[in-house]
Amino acid sequence: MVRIHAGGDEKPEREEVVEPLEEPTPERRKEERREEQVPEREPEKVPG
Amino acid sequence: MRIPDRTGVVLGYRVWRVIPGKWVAPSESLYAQTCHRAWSLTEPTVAYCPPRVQGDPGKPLVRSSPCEAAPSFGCTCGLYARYEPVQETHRLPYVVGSVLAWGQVIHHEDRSFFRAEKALPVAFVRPRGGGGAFPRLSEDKLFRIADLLGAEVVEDSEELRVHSEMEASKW
Repeated sequence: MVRIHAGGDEKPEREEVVEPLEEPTPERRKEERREEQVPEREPEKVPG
Repeated sequence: MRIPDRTGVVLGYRVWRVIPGKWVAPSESLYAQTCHRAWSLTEPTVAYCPPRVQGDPGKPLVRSSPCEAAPSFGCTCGLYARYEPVQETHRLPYVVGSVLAWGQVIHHEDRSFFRAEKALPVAFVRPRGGGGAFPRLSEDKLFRIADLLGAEVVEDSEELRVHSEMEASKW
């Protein structure tokens, strides 16, 4: 549940917990980029 | 176990300080703008709350104990980022970029920033001219840092926004 705080001279603040399905890491991001850079294979030409 | 309020990440923008010089390892070369704490280049950086000493004239020093979990409400701890790209010009050793942030997040929406528990830099804006003592070394170090993080170096704040929004949408 998202919680709202306000007290004293503080502006209201909103607090939440956000979690990705899989935690981003430098290695995971590099893998993603490598996958994106793999060129699509040309469709094979079949005679006839 | 902590139940998330939602899945995904929060996209933020911030400024770092690059420590130039071959005598400082890249892993110790990306610092917060004003704090003496290096950001991790091998995994997400996790916020912590340092013990503080507060001194008022005529009063004894007060030591505050760190929060159990950072960031927490009523404290200033956490990894800071703005919701919008930084438009101000920063010269090396300062560098503008973006982060994916998650975990416990405290939003200061009226003041346009948030504090997060975990964050990973995703892109930096290519520096335009250098200040400081070693601008060339700082720039070389920034590219090494970006390479280790798998982060992109983009040309301007608009490209930073486009690239970062696309990255954030993947998680």
